Amino acid sequence: MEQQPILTVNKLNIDVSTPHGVTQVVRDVSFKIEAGKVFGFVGESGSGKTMTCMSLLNLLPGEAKVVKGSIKFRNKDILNCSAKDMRKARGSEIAMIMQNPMTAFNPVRTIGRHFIETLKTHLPITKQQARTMAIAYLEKADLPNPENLLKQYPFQLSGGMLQRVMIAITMSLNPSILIADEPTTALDATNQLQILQQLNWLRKEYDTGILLVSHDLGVIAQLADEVAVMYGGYIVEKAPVFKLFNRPMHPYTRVLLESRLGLTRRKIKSVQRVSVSSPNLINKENTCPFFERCEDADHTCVNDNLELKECEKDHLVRCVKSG
Amino acid sequence: MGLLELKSIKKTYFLGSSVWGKRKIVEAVKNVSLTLEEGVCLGLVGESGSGKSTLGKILLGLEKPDQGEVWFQGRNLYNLKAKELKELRRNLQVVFQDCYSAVNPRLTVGEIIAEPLRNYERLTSAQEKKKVQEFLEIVGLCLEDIHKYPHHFSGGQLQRINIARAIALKPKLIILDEAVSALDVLVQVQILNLLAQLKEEFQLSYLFISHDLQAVNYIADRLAVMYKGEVVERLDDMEQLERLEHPVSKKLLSSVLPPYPSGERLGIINNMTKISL
Ligand SMILES: Nc1ncnc2c1ncn2[C@@H]1O[C@H](COP(=O)(O)OP(=O)(O)OP(=O)(O)O)[C@@H](O)[C@H]1O
Ligand SMILES: Nc1ncnc2c1ncn2[C@@H]1O[C@H](COP(=O)(O)OP(=O)(O)OP(=O)(O)O)[C@@H](O)[C@H]1O
Ligand code: SF4
Ligand SMILES: [Mg+2]
Ligand SMILES: [Mg+2]
Repeated sequence: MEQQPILTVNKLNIDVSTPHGVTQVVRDVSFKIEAGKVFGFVGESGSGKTMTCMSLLNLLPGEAKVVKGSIKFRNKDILNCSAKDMRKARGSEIAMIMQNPMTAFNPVRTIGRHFIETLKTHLPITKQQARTMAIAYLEKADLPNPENLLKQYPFQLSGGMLQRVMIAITMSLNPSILIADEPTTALDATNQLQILQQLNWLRKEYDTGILLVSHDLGVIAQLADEVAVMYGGYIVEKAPVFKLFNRPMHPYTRVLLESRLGLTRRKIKSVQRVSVSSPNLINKENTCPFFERCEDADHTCVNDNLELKECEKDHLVRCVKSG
Repeated sequence: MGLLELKSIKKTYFLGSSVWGKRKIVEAVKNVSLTLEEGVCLGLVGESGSGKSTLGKILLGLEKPDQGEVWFQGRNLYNLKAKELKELRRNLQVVFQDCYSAVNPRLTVGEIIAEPLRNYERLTSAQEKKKVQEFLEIVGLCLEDIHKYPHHFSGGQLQRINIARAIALKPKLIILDEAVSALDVLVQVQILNLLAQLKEEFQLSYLFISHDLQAVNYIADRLAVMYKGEVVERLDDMEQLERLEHPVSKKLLSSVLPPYPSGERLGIINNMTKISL
């Protein structure tokens, strides 16, 4: 039986206006997030992953704008939601954690004050109840010594601890969707593992749907159920995680997977084939963004109606040579 | 004697205000001694907050150590006249993680790369232009890029520009602090390959600071593991990585995720024994 998705993004297009013209940073992006599932986003730096995340919370920076497409959360139309409704939904329905947890905290407030105030904003409870709840959630997140933790200031915790506290706060509001944008990028491997464990537990125990953005293919490989690969604002490939890693079809996905380092010291030479120039994000409706850098490019690629096509069941690719 | 010698470096930060009695002491670096030989890339790993960046800043003269000495090219860095220090600093460059804040957004790429040249060398504008073009080419960018501004570039390209600036004076040592950590893996490998090639070409030495053991393993010749402000283990031969002995090093090593989904996917996550904090 098909599960009803919690969040549905359909043909999303985001433009950014710069003094030098309009840049199309997100183009024709569609995906769904289901309860208890992890949808992974990987891709080129600057390919529009963070912009996509921000649009889901209606939090795009001033110069960016959704110009086409829709975002539906259950039956709510996020893009046409009142500011008040959106404020209510943020945190309690759709929550977000970011790369640098320090920026999410006010440095002069204790962890306890953050936690309790967040709870009280969203729930009709007393301060004492909020405190009890905070301790319970810190315990659930396996954080040591919760009572003491509440008294500490953000700077007194390591980046890893702070990120785990952030997730505990997020969990306490029981959101249906969690957007995690590079949640472990600033952390070492040990802390990373703890965060992933926590996220995995969150989706299992609370059925939270997670959008996981990471440039670390190991992170995506371990946690994501389905993966989208982004390049130049487009999703160029989308597939269940095993299919994507075992049979990558898009030329960009292939060279990206070839760049995985692992713990060998073998020099990776294939990457030299790909030129350094970045994709042209200005104009060029519907042509292939990878054209200038693609090994397989030829005249057939100058197709101005390139679409994400299903090559085999659930495996979508945006390349004229596939399907 | 190595190119760089650290002798019993110590750095403590004081946090909060003493008026409210909430002053807290952070011993970011305690008693670190290290040697870096010419032509070597030393990888410095360790969990977040272990003091890696603080150590890097001390080497650059951006933070003064409370105790200890930094010897670079046989001179004590903290015991020099301003002019001597300036001369020494040209051999000591840095590339940070945040490539956007490292450049002045109002300068063109040509000006950004020329900046260190202008500080140290008297070149005619034709000579300068030729040099800048040469370095752009070395880092794999094209000549037209010379007139562009930072916001025209992706993070990976901008990081190449930062590298071009760092090598412009043909320094002896470059400190790379999480220089590739925020980039996609394809660009990471491209930049790591570029760094390896430049190291051969110009006999550079690197202090490669990162929490990413995979990137360090790919580029470094030697390794030092930091934990709570101290170097707890050293490795002179990277081929011996699997034989790291200190519990902290072992923990870091065993936490590296395989870069593919395996049969017991999530096993590594689910079965992880509780890590003591
Ligand atoms: N405030 C802004 N003004 C103008 N352009 C912007 C702004 N923020 C982002 N961009 C541009 O939008 C594009 C998409 O950026 P985004 O941050 O979504 O990329 P990303 O995929 O998250 O990359 P990374 O992996 O580096 O985090 C980039 O080309 C970037 O240069
Ligand atoms: N300017 C500062 N003021 C106060 N404390 C500081 C300052 N800079 C660093 N610290 C503290 O010193 C310790 C070491 O920090 P440092 O940035 O050197 O760690 P790191 O190993 O580079 O970590 P990361 O992997 O997160 O970059 C941390 O506890 C940090 O909070
Ligand atoms: S459409 Fe052509 S240029 Fe684009 S990825 Fe496919 S083969 Fe390469
Ligand atoms: Mg991003
Ligand atoms: Mg650091």
